[in-house]
Amino acid sequence: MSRVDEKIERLIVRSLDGGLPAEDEHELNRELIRNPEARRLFDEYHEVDRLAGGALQGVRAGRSIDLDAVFAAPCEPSHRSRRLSWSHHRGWLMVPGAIAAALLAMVIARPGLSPSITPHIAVPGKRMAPIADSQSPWGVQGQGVIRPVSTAPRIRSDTGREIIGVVGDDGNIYWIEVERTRTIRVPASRDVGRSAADSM
Amino acid sequence: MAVPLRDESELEEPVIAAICEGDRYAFEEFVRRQEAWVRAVIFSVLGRPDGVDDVAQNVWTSVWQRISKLRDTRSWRAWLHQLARNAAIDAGREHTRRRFWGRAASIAAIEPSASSGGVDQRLTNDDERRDVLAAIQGLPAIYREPFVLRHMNDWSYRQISEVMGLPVDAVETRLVRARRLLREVLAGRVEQNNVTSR
Repeated sequence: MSRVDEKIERLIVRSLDGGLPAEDEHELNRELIRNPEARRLFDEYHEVDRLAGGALQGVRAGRSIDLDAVFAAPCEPSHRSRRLSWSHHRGWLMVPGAIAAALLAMVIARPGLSPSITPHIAVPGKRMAPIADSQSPWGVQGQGVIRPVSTAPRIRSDTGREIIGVVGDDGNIYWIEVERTRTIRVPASRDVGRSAADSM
Repeated sequence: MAVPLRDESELEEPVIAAICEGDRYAFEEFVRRQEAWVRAVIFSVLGRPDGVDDVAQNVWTSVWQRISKLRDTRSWRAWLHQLARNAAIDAGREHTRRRFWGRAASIAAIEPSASSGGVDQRLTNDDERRDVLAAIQGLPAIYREPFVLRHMNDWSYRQISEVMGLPVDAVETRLVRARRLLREVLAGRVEQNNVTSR
């Protein structure tokens, strides 16, 4: 194939298959006149087609279809009717599933039936029953007294000191010390842990 | 000039509708018109000539049984093509399984050619045909199918592309490669025949 490029090979094949436009046919003819290798390839592909056509004729003209045997075969029910009947069954199958889903939803929503999400309400000044939670990593923590803890945010002051170095006109370095006090609002959630620790 | 498949498909739509109603005469006519390309599809997938008759019989039986399930009668050709391909694939698997267990019959002899030459000439033609079929059988399936559809049905590239669901350029490329491979495999015979004919 070194002396016949792929484009010419395609034109040869198209020409043999009978689908070559006129302008491509001119180009192919010029190449066939000019290039003996292209002529050789054309002849060889033509011979391949002749051999294949002859060999496939035997396959084409095979035994005729036995139509009596075909008609004797039972016809399958049409697609539409079967699809309808299936959807009908599917509808019935959904009813038990819907009932089961509703029951499950009721069990989850009812507080007394779900220990993991039932809240233990603390009353100030009263002892709280130990929580025997098997899932707790610390086990039973014993009994404790509930004290009221303020949930209001606390104001905290932080003082910081900054030292700044400045080079003076005389070449000496002067150190300036500045104290800055900042007021911070601490959220109640952060303070609760500290208050509880202080009270122990 | 071949009739575009799309036009032919539209012509067959009322026939398909009649078959769906159980019209046997319509079915016979339909088989007569479409049988050749269905055989080509079967052979192109199966790769052997000996199983084509049986598979074709099964395909047309399936068509008669299932055509009422065809929702869109316009897509009958793609449906029939897929039915034939699947039947051929199944038959190929069955053949391989039987060969594996050593019960396969040897490849059936190809029918003698219709040439009126002498005994020697006929034997030569049979050898030639067997070699060529073996070469076609040896092609990769993606090249064999368009090549067989082209040579058994004289279909255009567009017709092949419609039934195979490929772009026309892809069909052309596959046909070029199929011929290239066959030329290599049949090199001796092709050259000999060319020299004889000169």
